[in-house]
Formats: sequence, C-alpha cells, structure tokens
Amino acid sequence: MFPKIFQRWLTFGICFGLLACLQQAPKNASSKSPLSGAEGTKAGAGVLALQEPEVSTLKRVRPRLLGKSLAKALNLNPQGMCLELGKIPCIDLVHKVALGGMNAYGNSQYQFPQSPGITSPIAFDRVILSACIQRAQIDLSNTAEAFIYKDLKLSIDGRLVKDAAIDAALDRLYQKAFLRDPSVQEREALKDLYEDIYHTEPNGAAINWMALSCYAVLSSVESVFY
Amino acid sequence: MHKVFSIFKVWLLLYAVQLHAKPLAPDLFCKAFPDIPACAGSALKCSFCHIPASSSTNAFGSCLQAHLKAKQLPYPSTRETMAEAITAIGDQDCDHDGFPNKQELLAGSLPADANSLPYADRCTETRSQASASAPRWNHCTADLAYVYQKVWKDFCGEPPEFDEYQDFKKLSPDKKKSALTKQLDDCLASNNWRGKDGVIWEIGHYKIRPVGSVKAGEDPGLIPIVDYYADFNLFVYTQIDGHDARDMLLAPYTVSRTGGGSQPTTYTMQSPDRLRDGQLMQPQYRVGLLSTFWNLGFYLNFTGIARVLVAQAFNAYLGFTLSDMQGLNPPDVSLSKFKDYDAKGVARSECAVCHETIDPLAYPFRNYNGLTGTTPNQVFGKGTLADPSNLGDENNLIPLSYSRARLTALDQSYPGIIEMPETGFIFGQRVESLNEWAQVLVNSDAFAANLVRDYWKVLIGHEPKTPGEHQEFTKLWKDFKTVHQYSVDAMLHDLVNTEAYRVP
Repeated sequence: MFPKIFQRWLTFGICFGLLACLQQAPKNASSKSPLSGAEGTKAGAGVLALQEPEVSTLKRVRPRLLGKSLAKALNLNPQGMCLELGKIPCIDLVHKVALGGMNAYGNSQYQFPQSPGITSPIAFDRVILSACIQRAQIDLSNTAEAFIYKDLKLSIDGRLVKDAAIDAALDRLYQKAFLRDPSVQEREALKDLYEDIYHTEPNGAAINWMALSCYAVLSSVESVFY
Repeated sequence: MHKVFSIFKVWLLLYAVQLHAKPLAPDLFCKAFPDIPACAGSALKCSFCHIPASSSTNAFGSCLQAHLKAKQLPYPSTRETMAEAITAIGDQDCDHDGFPNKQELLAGSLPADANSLPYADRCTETRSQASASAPRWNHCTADLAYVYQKVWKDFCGEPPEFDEYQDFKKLSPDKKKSALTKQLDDCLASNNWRGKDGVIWEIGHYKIRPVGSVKAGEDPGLIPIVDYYADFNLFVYTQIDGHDARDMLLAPYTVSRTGGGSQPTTYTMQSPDRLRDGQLMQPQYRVGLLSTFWNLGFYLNFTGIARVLVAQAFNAYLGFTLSDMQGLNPPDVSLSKFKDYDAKGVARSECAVCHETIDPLAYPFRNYNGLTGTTPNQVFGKGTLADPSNLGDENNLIPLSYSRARLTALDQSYPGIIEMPETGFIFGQRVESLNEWAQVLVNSDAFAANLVRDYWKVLIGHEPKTPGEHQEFTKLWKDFKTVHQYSVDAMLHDLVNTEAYRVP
C-alpha cells in the first residue's frame, strides 16, 4: 500500500542496524596509519594520523525523552499515545528496553544498553506510527481546530486540495518536531509523498498522507539522535 | 632425592612470590603513571597486560616480559622499577597497530589491542574551517542554540517550544549564556531530573541495584519484604541543591520524598531516629547507603564476612571491579591480621592474592549485622522490631543493626570468626571503623571521578575517548573535589560548558 514508505522503513532500519554494528565493531584496519616519523604532540613519539572519533558525537533518544517529545510535538496524551493490546504502554513498559531504556526493577538491568538492539527500529516505528495515526485521525475529524494539519481541504473526489494550508501544516510539523522550518526540498518531498500514496491507493489517501508524512519526519535521523 | 625436593621447594617459593606480585602490578603501574587516562581516577584491570580468564600475557604484557628477560631484570616490585620497565618499552609497538605504546598510554587507548587506537579530537583546524562553512550546524565551536536544546532534552526531558527557541536565538551572546544558566537551573528542579525514576534516580540504579519482586511499601512486588526507595531518596538528595555528594556514604540521616507526577518532587532530610525514620541502624553507626536496611539485608544477608557487600560498594562508588583485580592493594598481613576466619580457603596462595586486600576491606563491617540471628517472630510477630524500645543496645543480636553479638552467634558455625578484627584497610590505609572506611573512600580521587563519570556518560553519551575529552573529564572531577566542593549541581554547570558537551 505504501511502497515508498516501506523503502523509508527499510532505509531507517538499515541505518539503525549499521549504527549498531558500527558501535560494536572494532575499528577496521583501513583507519590505521603507518608511522610517519615526525614528533608527536603528547607522546613524543611519531605523529600519526589519529583515528577519527567514530564514537557517536550524537546521542540516541531514550524512551522517556521520546515519549515526552512526541507528546509535545503532536499534542497527545503520553499515556495513551501508544498502547499494546489497547492497554499496555508501549514506551514505559513493552518496548522500553528496545527503545534504549533500562528495566531495573523487573530485569535487574541497571545500565542503559550500549547499542541499539535488533528490535529497536521496529519498536521505534511502532511508537511513532501509532502517535502519528492518532494525530492524523484527530486532526482530520476537525481540521479547523487541528493541531498540525489545520485547514486542510478535500475535494469532492476525496483528493487533498493543494493550497497554502499544506505548506503551513508541514511548517508546523517541522517546527514542532525539530524547532525549525523545513527546507524547500524537504517540503517538496513530503508533497510528492502524497502523490505516491494517492496513486497506490486513492481511498483514504489524505489521512494516510497525514499519518505517513508525520511518521517520515518523526522517524528521521534528526528525530532519533540529538 | 633430597636435593630435587629442595629445588622444588625453592621453585614453589618463587612461584608463590610471583603470584603475590601479580595483583600489585596494576597498583604499581598507576603509582608510576598516575596521570595517564587509564589511571587518573581509575584503576587498571588485569586484562591490561593479561588475556582475560587466563594467566597468559597479552601483547603488551609479553613485551614487558620479553624486555625483563632480555635485560635479566626481576619483575618490578617498586614504583620506580615499574616506571623504568614501562618507559623502556614505550617506543615499541606491541600490538602492531602503528602506534607506539607510549602514545597509546597517553591517549587512553590499549597498547595490547590492535583494534584500540588513539582518537583524534573532533575539531582539528581543517575540520573547524569545514564546519564553519556548513549551512546549518557548526560542528567545531560552541553553538549555544544547540546547547539550549540539549539542556532542555537532557535535564528537562523534553524539547523547548518552537517560539521559546526562536526567542533564545535572538538573544545576544551574553544574554544567551545567562539564559542557558537559568534554563539549566530550572531543569535541575524538574521531575525529569530529580523525581522518582528520573535521571538521577536512574544513575542510582547500579549503585542500589533494586529488585522489584521483593519490594515492600510503595510499588510492592510479588513478595514484599524490603523497601529500597529510602536508598534512592537519600542518593537523590545528595545529588541536588548543592548538597555534599559524599553524604551518600556518610549520612546518618534518612530522606523522605513527597510530590511527583504533576507536582514538584521534594526531598526532606529526617532527623536520625532509630526505627521511626525507617532504619534499624543506630544513628551513630550509620554510613549512608552502606548501612541501610536494603544494603545490609541484600548484600550482607546471613554471611559472616562482608566480601560481596564490599565488592558491590567498590563497583558502585569507585567503578572498580575487584574480580578484575582493580583496586587491589594488599596491606602487610602482620598489620591487617588477614586470616581465613570463616574457613572458606581464602588463605590459599591462589586466593590470597585478592583476599589479602578484600578481606581487610570487609573487617570494618565486623559488627554490622545483616540478618544473622533474625527470628520469624522479630519480623512477623509483635516482637522486637515492631517497637524501638525493644531494640536494646549494641550487645543485642538485632538484624540490620550494629551488633557486637553478631560474631558470637556466627562463631558457632565458623569457629574462630570471633577473632576477626574491626580494624581494616582501604587503599592500603588503616581504618578503625566503618565510618573512617567510608571517609577514605569518599575522599578518594576514584570516588569523585566515578561520580562525575556517571553524569558524563549520561550527558555526553559515552566515556571520555579523545585526548580533549580526557583532559576535560580529569579537570572536571578534580574541580568536583575542590572548586565545586562535591556539589553535583555546580559540577553540572561546568560540564555543560565543556567542549565535549557543547560541540555538536
């Protein structure tokens, strides 16, 4: 139904997986440099091309920050934003460890996991998508009072009317998510996303675009790391 | 035959001496090179020179051995000879990674591991110039707008509002700095930072090591036996509002907590009052988190010698793993009176190498009772523990208290344990009581470095790696002891001003 979105999922998953591997993998031989023979800065030995700091200079968003950021960006109740089986909190309980949190009381896990687990991207997607679907449903039920997708209009055949409200909605989404406006390319990419969705499945294309444009932004690298 | 036996005895003696020398090596090494990253505020693991779970040496250890053999030198037994030996192999590249040992030691990478290389600082001149031309992010100089967002996220647990952020960006550099300071203060008061299950609380997890299934009181588990939230309350209290962080291991008082949820969380120091303030320990014998209901109940339990408790305390408050031979510094046996008091075989040479340090560390817990002698009636009946007037003095065998009768009771199971002294040794220093023991611990460099490292890891995201990070980290924990006077809040104001935190 959402071919490009699946591509995005896949890309995101691969990026997350690669990051996990990079954090665990030893530095490879290509990063080593031969002795050049000049004086070193501290050691007084040869100056070598020191290794680039492959350690992440960015941090991973942990569950509590993820929950609060999502709730704030989308104006949702953090307790009801994502519930497994309709009642068990995704962030605080079910996916807490997968999202990078620790379960001290239940699992005697007293430190944060050092690298993302194999289910981390799936858990992350699950939470973001759930929150974005909620926002899209609430906004579409009354677009005049909408929090993100305000004043969006649908044509008689159910298509999203391309007007300034779309740009304004995308600006709001970026401002809430990243505290900045989208670039021209980012804005156009999300508008193109609507066309892809509509051509794949016209029914419900508007609400699907609302949910998935939100998902595409909030599951991006800029949202996962800081 | 007699001659062969004599040679065997000499070999055995030499072997024993060698065994005794091994744990001293990390200690000697760090005394010889106290300022290198592996030693500053930390201690070497045996894996620095040895293959883990083996007595074989790794590449660096083998280099050292080869050097000693070639020069026909004995194994270093003093700081000076250790310094000479390590310096002599400084220009060698034992792990063949292209970096001489000396450079690896100074940069904080491992000289025995070809995959561990010295890191460069993130911002060289070339990279700074490249970054300056980057359109959105400045990667090589402090970006206060980035720091503002980061302080919000790290300390308040959420991003700022868009308008708030735009207003901040419009401020002059000086006003940005003061706005940042104010924001940090506001966030330090937030529930995300100081509340139940907040950031500080989570830092306390590996120190207190809660077990949800036996939790009593608030949030009870399946088998509610003991409450550890009092430990968290004390820990958080010592980390906020400019309180002395050392009180976590010195405080005779307990701390209560109110608020939470939508209300600000407040911690209040309680006047020490045995049992009425939630602790059975007599106030004059209390040593913060070391003597709490939870710590003694869980880590001392029914055992005679507090080895597990000591190992956990070293891990939690110094970052030392005794099982990795970190922090071993055995005192002279004639002074420490080290002996196998509980018949566990610790005096055997292969055990004594560690236990000559560990057991004297545990001696000051001699009269601190875990659960020895506890009767069901004391816990579940209307007996002793229900009424403070029943507790009596320290000669009574009361659980979770200072009790001179403890070893009398244990002597029936371990004859001779009653001879165990209360005088102990920590970092080679003689102490007469657990309070003195705790004083030595909290005033050590390792305590300050470990606590600052806890916050560094949470806020920077990883342990210090690059030379610049090592430098900033070392300055920070040294200042924590002096400039900040063990105030975590003051230290954090400096931490957010480090290059490591401020540069994206």
